[in-house]
Amino acid sequence: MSTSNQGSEVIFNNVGKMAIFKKNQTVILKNCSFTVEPGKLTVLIGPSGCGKTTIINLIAGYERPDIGRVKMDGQPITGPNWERLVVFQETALYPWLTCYENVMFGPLSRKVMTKEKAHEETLKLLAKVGLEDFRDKYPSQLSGGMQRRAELARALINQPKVMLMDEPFRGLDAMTRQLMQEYYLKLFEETDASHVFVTSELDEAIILADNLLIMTNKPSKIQKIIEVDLPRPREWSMVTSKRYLEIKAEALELLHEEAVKASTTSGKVDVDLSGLLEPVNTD
Amino acid sequence: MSDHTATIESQFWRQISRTFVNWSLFRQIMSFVLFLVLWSAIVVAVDYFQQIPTPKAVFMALFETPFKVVLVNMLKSFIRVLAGFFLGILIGFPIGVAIGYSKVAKGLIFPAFEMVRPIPPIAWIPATVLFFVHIESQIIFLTFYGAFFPVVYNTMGGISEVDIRLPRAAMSFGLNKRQMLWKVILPAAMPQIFTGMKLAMGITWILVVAAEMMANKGGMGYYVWYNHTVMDYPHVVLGMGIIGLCGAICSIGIAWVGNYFTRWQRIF
Amino acid sequence: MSNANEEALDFVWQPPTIKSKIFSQTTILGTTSVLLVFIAWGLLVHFEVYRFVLFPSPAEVLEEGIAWVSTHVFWMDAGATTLRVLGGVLAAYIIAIPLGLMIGWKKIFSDLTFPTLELLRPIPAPAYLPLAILLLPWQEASVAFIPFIDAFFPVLLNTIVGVKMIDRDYFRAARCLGSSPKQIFWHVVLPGALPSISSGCAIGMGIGWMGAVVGEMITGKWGLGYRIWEAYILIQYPLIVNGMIAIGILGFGSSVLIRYLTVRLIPWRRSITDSLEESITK
Repeated sequence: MSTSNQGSEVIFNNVGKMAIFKKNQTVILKNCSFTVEPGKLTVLIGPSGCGKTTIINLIAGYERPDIGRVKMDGQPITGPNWERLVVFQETALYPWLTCYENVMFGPLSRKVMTKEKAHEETLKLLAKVGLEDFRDKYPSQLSGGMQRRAELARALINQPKVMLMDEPFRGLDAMTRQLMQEYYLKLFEETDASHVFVTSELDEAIILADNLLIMTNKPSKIQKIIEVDLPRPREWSMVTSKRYLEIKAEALELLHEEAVKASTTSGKVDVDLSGLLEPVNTD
Repeated sequence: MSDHTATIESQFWRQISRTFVNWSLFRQIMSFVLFLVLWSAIVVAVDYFQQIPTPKAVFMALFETPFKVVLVNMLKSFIRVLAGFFLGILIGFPIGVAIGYSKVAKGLIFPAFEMVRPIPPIAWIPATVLFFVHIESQIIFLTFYGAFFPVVYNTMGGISEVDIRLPRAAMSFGLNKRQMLWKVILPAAMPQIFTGMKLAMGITWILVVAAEMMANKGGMGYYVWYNHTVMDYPHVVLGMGIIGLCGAICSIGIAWVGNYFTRWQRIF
Repeated sequence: MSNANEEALDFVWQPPTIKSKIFSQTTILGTTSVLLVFIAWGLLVHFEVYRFVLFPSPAEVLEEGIAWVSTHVFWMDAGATTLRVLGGVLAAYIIAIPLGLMIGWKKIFSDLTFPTLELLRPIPAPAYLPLAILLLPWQEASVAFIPFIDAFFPVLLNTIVGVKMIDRDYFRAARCLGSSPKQIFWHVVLPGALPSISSGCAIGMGIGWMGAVVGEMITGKWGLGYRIWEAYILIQYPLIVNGMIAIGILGFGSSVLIRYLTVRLIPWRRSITDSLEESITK
């Protein structure tokens, strides 16, 4: 049990991926190399449509790279596996199962737990994410924030080595979003798994990240890795600290370049640049 | 002063009428009354429509209905419809699943179906007569054929339109192909599968009535046509009503079963 | 970025050549599929399996079909059936679309008419035939009544759903801008419901063909439905199959025509699908 709960290392080595749609080929990733360090929280941030979801799909094993290698603990990734679980954009809970049944779904399908054990674990996890009173509700009866928490529980019960978060808090209102970030930070600090978190919001990225990977436009690669050395456990009060602002200033500058490029080439920007309008205090 | 009290009074009565009278329901009931009144008026007042039976005549016909005959005919129609419908599901559903789930099966079966589908099921009647000796099996084949395509196409469509993230998540959880089908794909496709069944039921009733009108072998379609030939029009209208009732019972039944299986959709 | 790395990534996408298109999996499987139907049919007839003894072979059907198409009778029949379908279905469009718009738009109107329509809806169209014969004693019209009833309810329901699906804010915006009810009808209700109406029209056209064939089989003197029924009685089996094929082709053609026309009518719908496709590429 303890070995399976260890975080894994994921390495992208010169990965290239392209898509063909209606006779147009687009190179999504080009020469993309980076490492997800074991037990760390790696955040990917970049302009919209730059292939962040593709990276998640490659790690999860839903897609294969056209060129280069994606390796986990030295082994190439060949397909989806419970060691790498995705929390999708918006909810991907099974709408015909109750919250409780959704969480039990993975271990019972693989038959790695007895019913009693699964029941016990499920209740424990639901309590952890604060959903014990909603165990018999269907996903459509839950609020957005509850759905994300249920989905987190559904993934965590499988004790994955890598958790992949594909803009999980997108579409939540600002208050819920902040609460979810706090929940998520607590959960992350309790587990040993490696996490990959995709987002387009800079504050969320910095407060969560151990390593902040800034991506370029399509064809995407990693432009810069910023190590976020804020102490853990993280708190929202840190957003005013000097180190935080320095990191933010650096990241903003890089993102701004990309955003401008994106807006002149593809016309759609969804990186949060609100910080640009206010002077950032770096001294 | 009196004006003021009058306003208050009228507001009071408006409030009372809103609380105790459901005007929408009242209007809906009025809809039926209006329909009956218009129907009678047209028949009585316009010479051209003289031969159409009035609602009163239809109502009176109810008392001289040979109930046993009607019941037997109803039963015959029901058996034909249900036999064809369930045969259609029994054969159509697995084929729909295969086409929706496997690309090779789709490539191999779908074009042939697309070639045959534009021919309306009714046009198969003469061909049916070639293959089946007994009239009963001819009619059941026809209803089966009518139910088959809606079931196949909606099952296939439901499966191919499942949100890709649901099977992807299941792949990560380590489900094998069989579990994937039963635990993820089919539940997700269930709403559209039942849409197909509802369509199939409607078509089966159309076909059964048409076939019975031609076949001379009993059933509600025959009952209507027989009364047409003896010019007993109140009973024609009564027969139409009974057929409508039977059809409505069948589709309500399916909706009921469908709601049970997709109850997660309706809870908010 | 070094040059070597750039070269490491040479995705060159080859557009599909004609050859690769012909030998792609889908075309091969599709051709096999269609061929299998004809081969199976031919073999079953050739070896006289079960009641296929009576059945004509594909070659026979083709031969007779070519002969049939060149006769005067075929064109009369096809014309008669098409006219009946078009007459009935167009009448259904003309009545059902405005009715559906009003039912979907005005609650009072819906209360007063919809329950009765729901009462009439489950009665299958062929059951109306005796009444149609009574009211419209001349053949053409009474047969056209069946496609009319068949097409009426799908068009009506799709129109109602179309209006109900219109975003409430469109009505509010129109009212804020000072539109009169008449303007709201023409600029919000009708265009908003058009996509749903168009699919209702296509469905109605498909079912309309079924209705016309039923009517002709039971009471007709002309038309493809009558012709295949007569062919059955006169034991002209190749004609039955050819009649079925002709009905299939004409029915398919009219559905395609309706779909094409309605897409023309709704230019903004195309742009929605285009932008959806664009977002998929990203």
